[in-house]
Amino acid sequence: MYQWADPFFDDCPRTFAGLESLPMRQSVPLADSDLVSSVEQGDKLAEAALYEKYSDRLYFLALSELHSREDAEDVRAESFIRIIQALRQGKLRKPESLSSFIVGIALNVIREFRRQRLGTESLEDNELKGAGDASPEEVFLDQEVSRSITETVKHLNPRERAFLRMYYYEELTVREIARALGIKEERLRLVKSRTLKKFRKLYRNRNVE
Amino acid sequence: MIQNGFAKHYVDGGMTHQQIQDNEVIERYVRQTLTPAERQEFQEHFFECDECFEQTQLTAHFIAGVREASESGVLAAVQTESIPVATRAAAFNQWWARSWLMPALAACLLLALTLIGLWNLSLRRENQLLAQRTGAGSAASERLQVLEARIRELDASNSASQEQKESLRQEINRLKEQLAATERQRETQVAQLRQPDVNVPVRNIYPVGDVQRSGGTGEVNQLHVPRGTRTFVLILGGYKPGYANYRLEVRDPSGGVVASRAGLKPDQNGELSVLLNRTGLNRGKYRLKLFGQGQPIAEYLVQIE
Repeated sequence: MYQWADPFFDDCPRTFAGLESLPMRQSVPLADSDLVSSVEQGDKLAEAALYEKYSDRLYFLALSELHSREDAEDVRAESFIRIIQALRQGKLRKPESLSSFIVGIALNVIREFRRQRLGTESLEDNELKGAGDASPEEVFLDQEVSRSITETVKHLNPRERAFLRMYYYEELTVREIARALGIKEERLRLVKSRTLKKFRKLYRNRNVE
Repeated sequence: MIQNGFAKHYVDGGMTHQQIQDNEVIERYVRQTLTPAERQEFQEHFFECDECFEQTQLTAHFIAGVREASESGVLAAVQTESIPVATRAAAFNQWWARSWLMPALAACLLLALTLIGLWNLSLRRENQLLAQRTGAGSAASERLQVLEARIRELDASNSASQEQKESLRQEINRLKEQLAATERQRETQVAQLRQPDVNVPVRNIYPVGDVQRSGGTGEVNQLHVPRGTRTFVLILGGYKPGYANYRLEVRDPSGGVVASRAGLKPDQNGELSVLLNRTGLNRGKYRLKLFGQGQPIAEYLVQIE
């Protein structure tokens, strides 16, 4: 299997029934138009290449919409089944619109999933609500990344830490944050830019070490 | 549509990473502040764009990490003590400005206006005194012109006796001397007024009966006021405390009031002082009468030298 170097990607499941056993064609990436025509002709390798190219993005899209790894995985599987079926049937008229085509199918699956989930929840009196799921934040994190970010944050100065909390966690307005920090609103943009830059640098150094 | 022309650029196929960064689209996507249409457009974009997809993932991880750190207490709620001094000072200044700075400024402004008003009154009084003296000089000058005209008429008619002419000439000379003296005095006062008023003399004076006990040799307080002094301060010793305010009258030897000050109040040390203009108080003896709510309570004899 393909080995991801970046720890950020480690929480993305990459298995898809029938495709994970096929050889990847990463060395010769196909253009979308070639992929589409090959899939239309029943080329299994083309289907695997299509999955390899868009699998992570589709999973990430589903994860950011549903905040559940299991649900995201289900959406990815169901979406690819529909995408390949539709391509085999020649339903994509413009191969250059493959990205939009995939996103459209994925969002439809997500909508159906939500409706189905909503019905189940109402029937079972919310017993399934959040069952087995992490918080919206946790779905993007594993322990290693979380620990690394936490350690990096500790090296920021008090004002930078205060800014991060108020902006990303408490979601205060720019005016409220500027008032709390005792600075002008125009200067807050600079504080943000410097804080993120410093964070990136510290994080990179930490993970390189 | 996405704000700031984002959607238009994308639809036109001209969207750049710079435009996405400028509009903070990635962060807004992760924080879910894009509209549904904007959100879908960006999703379609990161399906095609490796760089944006990677940035979106990193941003999602970062924000999730920050939120988790906040939840766990690593990023504690803002504590005023933990923010750098400069920042705290700025916040304090804002609070300070709101709480009592404005009333204090208003009070200072009022005080400054009052002082300016008093100074203006003082100047006006000095101008009036100068005008009076100048007026006296003008009257003497007019009288001199009349007498000179009269003596010319007598010379022409030869009808006046020698004694009358001599009498007129003597009066003319006297008036000339008076005019010259007035002019010299006026010039001196103008020169004094043009000098900055520094080192205002402060003198203690004692009421009649207390002067000798204070070490003096008589009942009169001797005041040496340096030349060029425009104002001086008298600290009125031995006054009877207990009145809300006091009034002081300065009388010349003939009993005429040449200056007065009302609304005098003791300071925080219990001393009662008064600021007097040197102008109008020539060398000589003066009687100062102090009143407490209309009742005479002390009298001071002052010799200005």
